[in-house]
Amino acid sequence: MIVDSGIILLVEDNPRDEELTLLALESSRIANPVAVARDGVEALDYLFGTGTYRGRDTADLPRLVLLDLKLPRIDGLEVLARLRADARTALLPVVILTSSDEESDLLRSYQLHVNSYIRKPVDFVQFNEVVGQLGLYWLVLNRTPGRR
Amino acid sequence: MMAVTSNHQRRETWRQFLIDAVALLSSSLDYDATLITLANLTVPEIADWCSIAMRHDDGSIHTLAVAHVDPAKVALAHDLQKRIPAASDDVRGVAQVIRSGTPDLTHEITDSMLVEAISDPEVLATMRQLGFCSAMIVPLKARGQTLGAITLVSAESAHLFDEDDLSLAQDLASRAALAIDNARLYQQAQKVAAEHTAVMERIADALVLVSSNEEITFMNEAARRFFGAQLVGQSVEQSGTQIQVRSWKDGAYDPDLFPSRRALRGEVVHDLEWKVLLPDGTDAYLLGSASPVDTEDGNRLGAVVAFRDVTSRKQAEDELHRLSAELEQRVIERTVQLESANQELEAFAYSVSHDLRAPLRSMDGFSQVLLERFGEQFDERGTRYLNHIRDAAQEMGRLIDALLQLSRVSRGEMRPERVDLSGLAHSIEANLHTADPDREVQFVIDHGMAAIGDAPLLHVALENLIGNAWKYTRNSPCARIELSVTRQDAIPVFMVRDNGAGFDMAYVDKLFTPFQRLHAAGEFEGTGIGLATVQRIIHRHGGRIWAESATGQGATFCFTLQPTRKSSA
Repeated sequence: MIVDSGIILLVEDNPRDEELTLLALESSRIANPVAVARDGVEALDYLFGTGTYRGRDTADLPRLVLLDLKLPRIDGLEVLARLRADARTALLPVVILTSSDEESDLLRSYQLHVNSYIRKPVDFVQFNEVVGQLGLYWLVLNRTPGRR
Repeated sequence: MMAVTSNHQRRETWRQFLIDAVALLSSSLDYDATLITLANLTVPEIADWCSIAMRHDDGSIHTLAVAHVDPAKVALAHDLQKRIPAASDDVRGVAQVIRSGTPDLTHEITDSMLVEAISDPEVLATMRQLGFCSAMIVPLKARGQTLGAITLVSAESAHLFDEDDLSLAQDLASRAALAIDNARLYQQAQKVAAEHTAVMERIADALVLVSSNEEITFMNEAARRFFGAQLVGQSVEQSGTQIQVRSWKDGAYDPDLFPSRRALRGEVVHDLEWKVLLPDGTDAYLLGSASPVDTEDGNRLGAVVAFRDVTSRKQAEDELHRLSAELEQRVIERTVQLESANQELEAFAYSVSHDLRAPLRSMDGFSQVLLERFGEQFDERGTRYLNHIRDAAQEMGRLIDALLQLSRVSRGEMRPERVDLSGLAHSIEANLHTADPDREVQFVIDHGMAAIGDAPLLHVALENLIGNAWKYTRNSPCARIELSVTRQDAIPVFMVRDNGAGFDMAYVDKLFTPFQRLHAAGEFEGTGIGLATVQRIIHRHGGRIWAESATGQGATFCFTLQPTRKSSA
């Protein structure tokens, strides 16, 4: 039984980017609670109930993971690979939100069955728009198996 | 003087004479001298006169010897012969015998015969004086050929030759002919051998003759000079050890593979690769060829081996191999270096892409947040300055993106395919109209323009060129952008022409250099990287790009997408 708390897991190591993303979510009136992991290890611990998140109910999956690629310790692609390899998280919606638009990153992300790949614009107005559309699409419009 | 003797005595005389003659004939190979001695031996026991005539190759007949016990008579006979020389077409006498190969016996010479045969009275008188009474001529026949004839004449002795004498004379003649023939054959063989030796000696290749029992019997001059003459007389194996004959390939010593041994087994071998140690201590590379030497009836006499010294060629080849291996190694090293440099560049670009943009986003984002949420705390100047920060951050973002694109067009792998340039241009045109619907720009695009190239790269190139034309025609009243193709030296030249601001040809050199801009940022925005990117794309296709313009006259950019053929003129 999946518990849907509507949480957004934001995996972002840059505190300013974190704050900007939260601001953008806020100005797009997305009220879902946001959990923040500051590197890949923390993100995996959160999702699998290990390490600092030992004991967390792993059935309580976030509605959406916003995943940066360049992360300390375990990078975003590795996190994505591990999520896809685990039955519990294989279908979890993951959106890469990154500065990179290197072809190799795009290719690898899609090979790992990412749900979406968004490049963060420098222009904050555009960034706001992107985050707003992201929220609308993934939190409101999109349907995911196993949820009512 | 020979008296009339009994048949028995005569036979005994002949028998004794033939024994002496055979001994004489086998004593020397100088048959001229031998025949003269033979003629002298004949007189007076067998005949009073003996004359020997030889036939030359041209058919002429030459008297080699005339013998009589009295030298004065010999002189007389010579004198007589000068007056009536034997001619090859004489119907009788020596010429006839030589021609027919059959002996001629005149048992008794009568005076009437002389009168009939001799017209010259002086000669006739001399002949009568000489008193010839009997004569026989026997051919010198060997191996079916008549080499000459022996004439025996009886005079003072008054002996009349009979069939017995004739048959004994024929016996003598055949023995003499055999001796002559042997001597001639020997001389011919000597001559041929001398010629062969001379030829072999002078041949530049080293020639070695090996006997059937593998002994070196001959080395020509080149071989002696090369290997040392001491090898003559040695066995092949002995020599092989001495000069360390080894194969090129593995340096192995295997006498079974020696050219001489293989030739002695009946093989004909060519260009076997051997190396030997020369007397001076250096290695020489040889190509050895050999064939058996057989007699006509198939007896193996030995083998002839020819060695060609290819040391300098082999050394040049080895040097070439070494150089190319070295070059290959260097290419490998360079490739590794290049790959590592490329990887560094990739890592650098990746880092730029990730890390350089993040701070800009903060600068832009927080400035925007300040404006949005704390706008009332700023006056007009404060607001303007915050906007400057945002503009600067965004400009730097564009610069980084342009730089990344520039580096990406050099890094990525090219996948050549047929690219519809006309279609590409139309889609770029559509995008530009969508992005800036207020502009009115007339596009004229040739139909069916196509090229072989990397589609994404060509898209970037056209996007930049058409985008530039779009940008610089902003102030033109009737903006017009043309895309066309012509051919120069059988190669398509594509042209993007506009009627915009143009540029000063004095600065055409700087056009394709990254970050060089010919217009102030306030006049026409831009990163100064677009044309550098275009040029890299064109160069990666092996093509060229150039531009023509004048300030206010519009600009034309021309490019090719394949290497220009070298002019044959």
